Amino acid sequence: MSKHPPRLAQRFFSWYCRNHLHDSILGDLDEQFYQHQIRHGTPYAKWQYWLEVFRFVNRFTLKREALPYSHHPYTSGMLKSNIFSSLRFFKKNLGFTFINVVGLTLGLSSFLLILFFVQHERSFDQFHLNKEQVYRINFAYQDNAGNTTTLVNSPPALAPGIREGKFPEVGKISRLRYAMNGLFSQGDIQYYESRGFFADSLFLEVLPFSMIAGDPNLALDQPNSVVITQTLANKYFKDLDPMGRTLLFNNSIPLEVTGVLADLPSNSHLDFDFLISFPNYIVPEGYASDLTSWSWLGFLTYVELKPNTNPEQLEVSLTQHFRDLNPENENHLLPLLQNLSDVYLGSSTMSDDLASPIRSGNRFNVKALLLVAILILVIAGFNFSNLSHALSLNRKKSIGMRKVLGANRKGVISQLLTESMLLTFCCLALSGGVLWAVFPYISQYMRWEFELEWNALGSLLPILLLAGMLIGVFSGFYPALRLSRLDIMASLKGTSSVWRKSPWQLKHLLLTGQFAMSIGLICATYIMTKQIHHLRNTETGYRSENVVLIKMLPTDMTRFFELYKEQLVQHAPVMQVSRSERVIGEPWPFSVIRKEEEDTEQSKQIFFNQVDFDYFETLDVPLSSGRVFSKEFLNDPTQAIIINELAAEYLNLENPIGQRVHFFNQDGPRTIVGVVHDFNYTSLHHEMGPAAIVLPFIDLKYMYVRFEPGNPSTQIALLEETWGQVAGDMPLQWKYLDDDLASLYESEQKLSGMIQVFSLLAILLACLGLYGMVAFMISQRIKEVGLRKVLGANLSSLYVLFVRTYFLQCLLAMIIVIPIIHHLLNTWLENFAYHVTISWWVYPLATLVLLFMILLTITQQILSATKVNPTLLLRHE
Amino acid sequence: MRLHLGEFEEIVLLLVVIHHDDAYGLAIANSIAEKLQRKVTLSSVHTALYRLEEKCFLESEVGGVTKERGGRRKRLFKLTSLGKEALESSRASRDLLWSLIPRITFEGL
Repeated sequence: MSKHPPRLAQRFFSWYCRNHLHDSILGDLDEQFYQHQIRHGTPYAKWQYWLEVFRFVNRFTLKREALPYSHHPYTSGMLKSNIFSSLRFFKKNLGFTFINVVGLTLGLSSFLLILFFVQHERSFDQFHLNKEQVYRINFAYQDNAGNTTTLVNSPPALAPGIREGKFPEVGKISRLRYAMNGLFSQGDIQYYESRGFFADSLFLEVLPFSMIAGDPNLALDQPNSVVITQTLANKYFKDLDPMGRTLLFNNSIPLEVTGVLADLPSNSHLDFDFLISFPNYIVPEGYASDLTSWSWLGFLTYVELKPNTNPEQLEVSLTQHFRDLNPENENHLLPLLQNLSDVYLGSSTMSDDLASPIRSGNRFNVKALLLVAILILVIAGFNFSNLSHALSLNRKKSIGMRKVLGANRKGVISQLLTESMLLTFCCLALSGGVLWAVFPYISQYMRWEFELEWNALGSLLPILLLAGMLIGVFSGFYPALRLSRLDIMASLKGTSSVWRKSPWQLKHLLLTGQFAMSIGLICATYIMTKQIHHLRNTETGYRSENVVLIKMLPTDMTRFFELYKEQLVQHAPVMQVSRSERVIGEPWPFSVIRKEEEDTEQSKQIFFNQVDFDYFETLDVPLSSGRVFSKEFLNDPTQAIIINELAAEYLNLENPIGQRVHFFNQDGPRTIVGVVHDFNYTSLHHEMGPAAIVLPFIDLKYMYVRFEPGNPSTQIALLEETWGQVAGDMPLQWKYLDDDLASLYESEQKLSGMIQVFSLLAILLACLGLYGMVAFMISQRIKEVGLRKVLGANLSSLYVLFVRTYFLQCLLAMIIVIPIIHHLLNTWLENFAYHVTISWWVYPLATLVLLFMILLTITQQILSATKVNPTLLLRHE
Repeated sequence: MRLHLGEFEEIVLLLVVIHHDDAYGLAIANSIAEKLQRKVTLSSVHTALYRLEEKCFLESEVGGVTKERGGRRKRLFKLTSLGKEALESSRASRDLLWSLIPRITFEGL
């Protein structure tokens, strides 16, 4: 056993005690050890030594003391000197500093831009002061096939029913009914307005939109009143005061303007121009339901709960209420309360039975964009830090000099940190300017409806400062730590090596990380583009080109349609004219159907539409068997029904033609006269379902005109001219069906557009960083290139030498990124009923693309370096 | 209160005076063990010394090297005038209290 004091204990003591007391205490401990050794033997002495070392842990020994000559590094004088020397360094390395600044500024401004967008998306409906207490009541139902559908709509009897006091949680409740296609007139001014609602009197109290004129508590109380927005007021009344004036609605009902709303903010999920008092809503003739229905999902219901009540409790009692209404039916409607804050982002999977003017976002899109924003920032940060690391190699001498002149480690670190912080915060300020300059263009391209608000920037400021600090510290700290540790003499002679020659160097890790992100972004861009393309080109089962869609009031349609059609078909370019209750792309309503021999309990739910003669010819939907509706069969309007192939399967009909079914609980069975091929009547987000089509039993509002392929302007001129002959000076509202359908995929298109732009930017940033790195690396290894050439290396072997690392890193990056990106993309694709599959070769292809871009970036540099006469290279320095 | 001394502090301070020019941690710890038959740890003596130094009752300087200490220097402590004042006031207050004890109560025990 050694007679020496335990070395481990000594080391431990030296580790924690680092001040002037260290030596004298250790001396005392040693002395005591020898005394103990003499009196009690070595083991006892050692044991005591250990105990003492632990007992010595106290505030005197733990206190770190400044070394005799050190001073606080951040006196203002030091700061000034640090800033000056940083500026001098930037000036000396102007090219690299430029790359650094451009890269980081681009990255930060994209990050900011996306952050603004995301913040806007998340700010929806937050301006309502009572947002915590306001809920929308959505409904879910299950069809007999077991599929659950959630609608944002609710039945009309809900609001009056709840008002009766059975549900104590409810403070105020109000319902809305979409006022499709209202025709407003004031003197000669006449327009169709499609963005408005019939609203219960409490609506402006439940959702208190700010009003310019009128009393929100009274405005909608009386029948025949209308509340309009500022824009609408200007449109109809110009400079006059609209309050108390009259607007003629649908050429028949005079409405008194009882309130003017400020134009709704762009972050309101309800997007309307007018509100008409609810009593003016009349259920169209022929509807099987009325306003006392508890099952007709055709309204929007908003409730304001009393403070401190539990929404879940209300949901439970509502569920119970619906169960009691219809005890035998297991598939009762299931009410779901959704808080106002969640309505905008949380409804992307719910359909709206009416296609009413509601803005709906998609939480996934927002998250995806946020992810891209973070990736961009990380890539830019990696670039910045890589270049800073590389550049710091140039400073060995200057650091050595500083040390000779008395700088200590802290001083060196603080100087290098000052430098990276200075650059980062310059970039942060610059990116604010860039954002301000480009925002108008980008927001126009993306069709964003919001303005750049600087007070919104205020709330983002902490995130930005944090990001800036992180980038600054991260990129400055590592080289600072390494450089500050250098031996003075070695660094002055230029012999010391700052960097370990290991493949796990930080810069390699960062580059690989960048490559991985770039590959991921290339894959995502490709798959998203392909999916959007797929959506627009999927076989829909109908042909929408050269079809004009005309919207009209149902009453006008009934009045003018036959005459208009008669006039139109006389013109050669017009091929077919027809009309329907629901337009393609709109969700279809559902009803019940059963075979003649079955009981009502066996009824199945089925989607349906009411169409006029020539409908299938107009949309070019092929018939698979039977016939279409025809005027020759007088009983067709009440006794014929056409189904699609899915419906034939759904109803278990082998030979559907001639079979009789009960439909819509109407009297008397209908005979199936035809079966049409499945065609996708809603958007491609939803799968096709079993559908039934009948001749109309209510007034229709959509009209289709199919033209021969030709010049759109002559087509429209023909339509308007003929309309003038038929209906005088009534306005005509038309749209090409193709354009109407394109709007269904607008949100996907916007997302994919944004992701494409920013992915491209991220990849460019990664290349920019690589360009800087390679340029620097070559300048460092220029002597090596010369030597190799002198010793007989040819161009291609030198090229391979430099490119090899990046090739390997690319492969590694691909392996890392595949599982992550595969999972993310599949999650996104699941949003679509019809989606592309991801083929395995996408990943290698993306890697190849990246590799190609890398080669493009560095080849020129490498070639120009290797082509130079080696003697010149060797004279370098 | 500035001059107040704890019991252990007073002992340590007195021993610093007793040891005169060889007053360092271990010597004082050993003296306490030998002269007062009281077990103390080295670290508690050191802590007391540092605390007294903090209160300006003591000052310290680094002394000479001795072989048995592995070549490490001793930290030698010296009483300051403030320390002296503290000791005197401590003693005075004690004397005062002693003089106030009525003879009967004490001798009767």
